[in-house]
Amino acid sequence: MKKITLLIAALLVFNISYSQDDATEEIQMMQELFGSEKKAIIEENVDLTGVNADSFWKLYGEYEKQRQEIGQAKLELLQKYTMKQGALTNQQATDLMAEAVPLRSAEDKLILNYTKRIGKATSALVSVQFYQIEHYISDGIRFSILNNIDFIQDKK
Amino acid sequence: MIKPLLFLLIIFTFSIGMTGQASQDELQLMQSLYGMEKRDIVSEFIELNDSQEQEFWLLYDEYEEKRKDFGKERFRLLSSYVDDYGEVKPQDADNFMKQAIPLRIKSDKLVDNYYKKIKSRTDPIVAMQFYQIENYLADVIRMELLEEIYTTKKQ
Repeated sequence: MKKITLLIAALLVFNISYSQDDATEEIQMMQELFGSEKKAIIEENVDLTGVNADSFWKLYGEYEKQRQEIGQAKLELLQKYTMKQGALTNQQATDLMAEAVPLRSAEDKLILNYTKRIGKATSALVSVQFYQIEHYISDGIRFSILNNIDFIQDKK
Repeated sequence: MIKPLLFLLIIFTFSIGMTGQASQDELQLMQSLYGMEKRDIVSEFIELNDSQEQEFWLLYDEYEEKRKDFGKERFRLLSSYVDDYGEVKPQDADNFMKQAIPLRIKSDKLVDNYYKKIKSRTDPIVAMQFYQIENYLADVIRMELLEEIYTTKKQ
């Protein structure tokens, strides 16, 4: 689990520093880096002994492609609002939430959908491990993102 | 405001010491992580004007009452899973997921539901702060509990 902790810590640093120039490029780079690191974490935490590993990785690849699209949208949203100057208005808060809430649900639904599909193609145990590790990582990312939004605390 | 980075450090430090403590409940866990009651954490983050104060806390207490039940359920479920780990059969895994998935969905729906209520009775910023702090705390707890499962698994 140390690897995940490090990854999240790296992401946290990234979040703090990226709101400067070339943010889009940085987001893409981060996604690629994260994607390959993430595969190593999955290999470490999902036990594929005795199941069809090929079908797991095929589904995982499919899942990861869709997850990255959501991840991209989340980072862009975060970037849009953290770069705004001054306090957030009520209208901006409404607009932000109108985009953020569906993104969160979409990610959860994606994990759930692939948990079911992976369960069918491999075993129930593999699907639990997939579900847990994916949520662990996504919770960690959300957590570090929320850390950086500062809870729009400065509205005073 | 308690600095977020400090939060993260505290959490990662605490995760080392958390193993085997699944018997304590979620609110105790939160208190050991932050050194204060959940309600106090929330009141530190959410900025309310005088006219919003009463309405917000009325809704919050209502919300918290419902959320606590899910929290207890999550602890019970994970404790039994951690206890059984090492000898998990496919059927146990399946049973675990059949309880874990609806629980997660219900908890998220509860936050969404009260986000809307709070938004209509206070203002969008207060509602957003509620959404953020509740999801933040829920994510922390979920991470802690999963960390515990993995640590247990590796032992």
